[in-house]
Amino acid sequence: MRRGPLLIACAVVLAAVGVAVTLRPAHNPSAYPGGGAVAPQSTALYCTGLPGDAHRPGRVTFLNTAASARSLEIEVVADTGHVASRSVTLAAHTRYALQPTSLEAGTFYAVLARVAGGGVVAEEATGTGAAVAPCASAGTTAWSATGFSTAVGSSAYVSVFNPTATAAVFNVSLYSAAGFSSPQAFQGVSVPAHAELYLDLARAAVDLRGIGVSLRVLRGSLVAVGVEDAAGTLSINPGQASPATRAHFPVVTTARGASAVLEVADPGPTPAVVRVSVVLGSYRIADQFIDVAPYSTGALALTPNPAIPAAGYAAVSVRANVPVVTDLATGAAGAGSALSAPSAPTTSAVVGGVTSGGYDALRIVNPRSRAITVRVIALGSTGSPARLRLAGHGVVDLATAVPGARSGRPYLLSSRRPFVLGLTAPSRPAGIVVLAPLDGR
Amino acid sequence: MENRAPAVVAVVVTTPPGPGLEATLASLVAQDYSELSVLVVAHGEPTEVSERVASVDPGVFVKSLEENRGFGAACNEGARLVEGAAFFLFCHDDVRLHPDVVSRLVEAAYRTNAGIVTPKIVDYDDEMVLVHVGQTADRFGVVRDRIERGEVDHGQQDLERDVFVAPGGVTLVRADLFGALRGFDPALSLLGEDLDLCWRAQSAGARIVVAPLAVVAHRESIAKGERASAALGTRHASRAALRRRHQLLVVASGWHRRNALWILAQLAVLDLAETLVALAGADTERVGAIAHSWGWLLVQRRRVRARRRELERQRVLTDAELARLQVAGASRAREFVVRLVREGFDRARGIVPPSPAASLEDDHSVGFAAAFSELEEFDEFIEPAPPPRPSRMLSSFRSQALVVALAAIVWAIGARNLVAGHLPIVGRLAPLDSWWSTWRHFFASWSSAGVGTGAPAPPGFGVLALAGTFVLGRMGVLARVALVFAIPVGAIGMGRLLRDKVSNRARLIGALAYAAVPTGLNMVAQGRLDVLVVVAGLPFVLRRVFEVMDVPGFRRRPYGPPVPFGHRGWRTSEAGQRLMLVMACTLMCAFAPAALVAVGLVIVGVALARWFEPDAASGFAHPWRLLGFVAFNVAVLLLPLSVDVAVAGSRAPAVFGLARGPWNVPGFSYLLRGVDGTFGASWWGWLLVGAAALGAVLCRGERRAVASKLVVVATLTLALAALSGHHWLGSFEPDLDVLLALYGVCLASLVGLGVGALETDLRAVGFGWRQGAAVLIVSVLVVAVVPFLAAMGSGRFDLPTSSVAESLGSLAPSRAGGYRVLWLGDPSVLPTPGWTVVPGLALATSTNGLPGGATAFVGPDAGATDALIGAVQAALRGQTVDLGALLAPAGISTIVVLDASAPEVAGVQRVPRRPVPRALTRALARQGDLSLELTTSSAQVYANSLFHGVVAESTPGSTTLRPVFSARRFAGPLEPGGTVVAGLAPADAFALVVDGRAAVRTTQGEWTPFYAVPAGAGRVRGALVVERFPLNGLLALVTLGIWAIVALGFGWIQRAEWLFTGRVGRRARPR
Repeated sequence: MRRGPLLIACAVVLAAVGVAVTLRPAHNPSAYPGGGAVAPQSTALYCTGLPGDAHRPGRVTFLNTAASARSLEIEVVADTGHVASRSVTLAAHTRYALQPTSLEAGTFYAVLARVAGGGVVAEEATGTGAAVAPCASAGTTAWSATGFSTAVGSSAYVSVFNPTATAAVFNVSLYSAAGFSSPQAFQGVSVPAHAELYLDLARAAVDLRGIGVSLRVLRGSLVAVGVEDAAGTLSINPGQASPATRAHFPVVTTARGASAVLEVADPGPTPAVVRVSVVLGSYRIADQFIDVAPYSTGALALTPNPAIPAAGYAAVSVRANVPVVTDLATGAAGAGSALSAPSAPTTSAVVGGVTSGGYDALRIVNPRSRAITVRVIALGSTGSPARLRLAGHGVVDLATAVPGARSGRPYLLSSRRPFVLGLTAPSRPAGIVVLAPLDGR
Repeated sequence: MENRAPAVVAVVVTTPPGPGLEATLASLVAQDYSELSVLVVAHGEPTEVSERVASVDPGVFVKSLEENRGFGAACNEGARLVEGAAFFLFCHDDVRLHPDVVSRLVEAAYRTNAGIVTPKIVDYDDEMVLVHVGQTADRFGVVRDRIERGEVDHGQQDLERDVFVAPGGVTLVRADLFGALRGFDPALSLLGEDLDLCWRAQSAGARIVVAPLAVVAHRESIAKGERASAALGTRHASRAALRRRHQLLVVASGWHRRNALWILAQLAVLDLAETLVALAGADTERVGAIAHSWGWLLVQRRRVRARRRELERQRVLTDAELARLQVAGASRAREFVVRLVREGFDRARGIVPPSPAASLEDDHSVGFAAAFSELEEFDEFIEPAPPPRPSRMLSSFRSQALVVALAAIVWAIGARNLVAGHLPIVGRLAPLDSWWSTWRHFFASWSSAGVGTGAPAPPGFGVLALAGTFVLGRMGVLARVALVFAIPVGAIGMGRLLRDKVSNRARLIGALAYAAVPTGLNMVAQGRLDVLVVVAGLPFVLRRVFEVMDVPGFRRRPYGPPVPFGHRGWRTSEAGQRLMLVMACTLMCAFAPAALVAVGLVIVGVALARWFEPDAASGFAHPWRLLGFVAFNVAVLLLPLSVDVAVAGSRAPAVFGLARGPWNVPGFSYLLRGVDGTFGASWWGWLLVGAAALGAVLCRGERRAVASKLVVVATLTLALAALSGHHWLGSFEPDLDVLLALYGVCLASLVGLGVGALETDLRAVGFGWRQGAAVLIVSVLVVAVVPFLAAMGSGRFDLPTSSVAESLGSLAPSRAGGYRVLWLGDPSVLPTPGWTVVPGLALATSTNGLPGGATAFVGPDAGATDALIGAVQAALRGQTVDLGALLAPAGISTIVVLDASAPEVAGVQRVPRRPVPRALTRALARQGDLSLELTTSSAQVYANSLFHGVVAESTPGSTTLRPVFSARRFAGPLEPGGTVVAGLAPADAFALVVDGRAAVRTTQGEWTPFYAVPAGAGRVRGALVVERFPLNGLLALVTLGIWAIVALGFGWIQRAEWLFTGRVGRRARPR
């Protein structure tokens, strides 16, 4: 053979390898397979913003979803800096509720639970049970929420807990219809390791409604929630880790006498055009639009709304041209409202953690255009799981498909593809207490 | 029985006035060949011709043709009239034959079995000047002479040989061949009929030879324009147009259809370029000729098809075989470039015609016509042109020595701050321990690497200690020696590699190219001493491999008979040479085991290249056996490391290198340039690659065989680097930089061979693209040096002045109980060797501060350090939020996450960034017992809030641990009844001696040993002591012994005979 074939063969090999490695470039992974799914050795849960004696004391409820007992080392951290500890062993599929005020005195509390193993989830609730938020399993470096009010009769706070051994530093920026501000007092705020503090938004935004908050961690990581007391209605808003162009609110009340307002904040320099799609029974409802100026906030009343009939629960999805922060404020007309964050798409969730009174609505929304199947199984049950098939962008009432779910019995929902779960507690008018499901991982 | 000579009929074609007809006929009549008949085929008025013929010889036959259809048609007609002839001798009417021409041509035809024989054609007026001695043609149908223009006949061409074209004038053609070919193509009325006939004859398998002893003088009056052609179809076309169109016809029909289309496409491009040049020179005649030829071809497309069918019917040779008979390249374009280079553009494109005066002194400057034309008037020269003289630059010893000295000075300037400046802890520049400590590490039963290991110490310690002996124990000098001298030594090796293959000048350039290859300089910048050893040694090893594998030209003399080990002459025997190869590999592998992979690639590459292009003279046939031999013997010579590999299990492939993050591995374009760092990452990095590629193509003969092997090795190396870098080969990921070092050797070798090809091989072939490539190579090499000079500015080849590791020195906790620092980062940025956690993340530890000489080498087996690796993996997967607690038993006080080995300082030092997986940062942020102490662009430092020292003690009734003992010495007071926990593995390596008695040791299912301190009154004193059988020491001793025996085997055993016998002065001789 001659040199020509040899050179051609070399060139072909090089070209093939070059094309292969160029077409499939490697990316720096932000996660590795098996995260949280494979027998965790230890986990931690962080709850913050639990109201103390100044309000009706809140509580934390732990639920062991694992098939074996778990030991918990619980620390209650008051905003005063005092820490109380408690060790608890949770049997399989059992709950444990802790009221921090029974251990320490303070205005707000954070609870840190170290779990030997995994499978324990927790949620915090206000004393009235009118607001429930899941506890976090990790800190975050950014946090956003909107819809806060510091008008007369209302107060709003951001409660921050540092879950790490590193002193954290963060900045807070505020948005409102009046524009953007970075209050001096909220810049370079330091949180010692394993400490909790809260920021009174009224110190920087006096007598304003629809306040958006953006928290950026400069060092370390934090767990943050928004706490609002609107005319006596206390709510805990878990917020969002980052603004997004899409958001889902699977259960939005349209009941008479109720109010539901979609709060939107645009934390960026580009004007936001927000399209709100409402799915309500067999009604064909035209999309609603909100224009939000840069670094500003806006709102859209979903209930009452002449374009949206009062005909039960609506599934609302939000799509924006730029990342925005969205929240839902619900309450009785003429009274204070509670804030709730959009439901994040997840592949597993737990319901039935805290509401002893059960649920008023449990709805699953498929955020994708392709059909998905959701498995629903009662914790501790040996029976076969129920399978719910959702068409693209479809909505299913879990309470109808699984009758026991409404009672508050714990169920684990899982799917290969993300779904969105929305819950409301029984209330009058219906649907004004929106709850967040627990992260099933 | 009558023995008659074969009948020859001379067909003389004449067109009035034909002033040389009488002379032609007279010379034919005077031939000494008895069986010669002469037939004159005349165009035009028959009476005049008959009279002139009769005046010479009334016996000559005359045939008149009414129409002048050209020379070919006339010959066909003449041949048709003749019966019984064995040969036809087709003659112009302006030739003069020597009396023995016919007999010599016939003799040659019989002797060579040729179908067509052509004589040596000399100038009609001066028979000392050669005109044609056969001709050749390229694939585009352009005919070229095989002699210099105006070449004087000294008998230098008097050798019978095959030619491709028998030029017209006098041509002897075997009658049966002529019939089979159906004669000349009558469509070719003038110019080109000889090419056509010969092309078809060659295709039909007939030989065409030149018989130089047959001498014919040829006036070439029509070709020179002295006579106008009156043939039909030629009146409206110039001679250039005729020649071009006939060439096109021959090419279009002379190849298979597919090849013909391809070649015509190339020819169209060339003609287009020629048209542009002609237009620039306002040469409308040339433009017209080109346009006419293509237009004519389009008109003749049916004829083309018919000719091709006819040719296919007769074809014996394939296109490839036919092409092999021709001259390569494009003759016309080649000639243009020659003129362009030698005489400038105007002369090349023909604007400046040669003046008579100029032609005397510039005899080869034929201007316009020489560039593109085949007009034979340009064959007239007074003196032959001198052959192109090779450049004398760098050809003398003095100039070469001057360049070497200059390069040494430049290198010294570039490395000036490496000699005495501060060396940062990057790469493998952690300060070595003392000479004695290094020996101790080699023999030690326990090493502090990771969380401690009882595995045999890597043999790198032994090699380092031996090297330290030569610098009188000044171990700090070794790193500087490697940084400063590795590349120059490698360059010397490159010179040796190229020895006997190319001239000293080419060797010098190859060596300089090796110094400028990015790999070496990047390794200096990154402090990779291990790879620098490979950079220094690989050219030597490559030469040795080539020699052992009998690559042409590398084995200077055949191996002699086997010589017993240790006897004089054993070194030069085959076994000795193989063992020398093994020793060189061993030396490199002691520092960078991936060098074994590099050697394997060389062996496999040579074998593969031979599969494509066998070396006829090579007797080597067992590459796989050689590969096994080398691998086995290296494993024996590196016995401790081999043991480590054997027990490492699935981690064994890590001996060749740790898995780098695919996102940190250079992209394929960087790999092609051999770049893994900041040096060479810009556009000029392509220059050496381009020069090497051209070199690979230019080489011929023996050099070509070597170049082919280097190309295959380079290809394999790049493919392996790219595939393993993406983890497509599993956990087998040889050190990328070692592979790039091999690639660099291949590049520099090819550059050297390319320069050698410029000097030698190009002179052996005609001018063409190769010469253009030569100019390119030289330009590239000159430009490639410029960035290299720019890199000298820092005086340390961009080696940082400070490292991240050093800047963290102040973060040390209390030294009570000792502490460890956990280093996490891409394996290429860790300041000390480690183990893979996940691809792109490696882990290493240092004890009581910064890394040092004790962990300069680690084996692939992580041992108990797997506990740390598992903890980090669990954190990465979100399985734990208590990483600090998991690391605390090992005494990890600090976790340093490195994104770069040194801080980037804008305008001061450049450092390649190789970020850790983002998942790690997220995972560490989730840990509740780690506090982030420091964040910079190149590192994050976390403190472990649960740190309790490497050795800790819990008092009775308490679970709280507190550090005990000092960092330097594991001894001190203890609490009676307490429990001592030691983060020292393996658990059975240490014993806690309390007041002279060993405490009870348990492991409680952990990797750490727990010692129960006996209860008693008052504090007691305890000490942790190593308690292991010195197996590692014995292994190290055996290894040293093997090294000594092998070294002594090179003739020294025999020389040291007196040591054993007491006899002095007797020279040992091989049996």
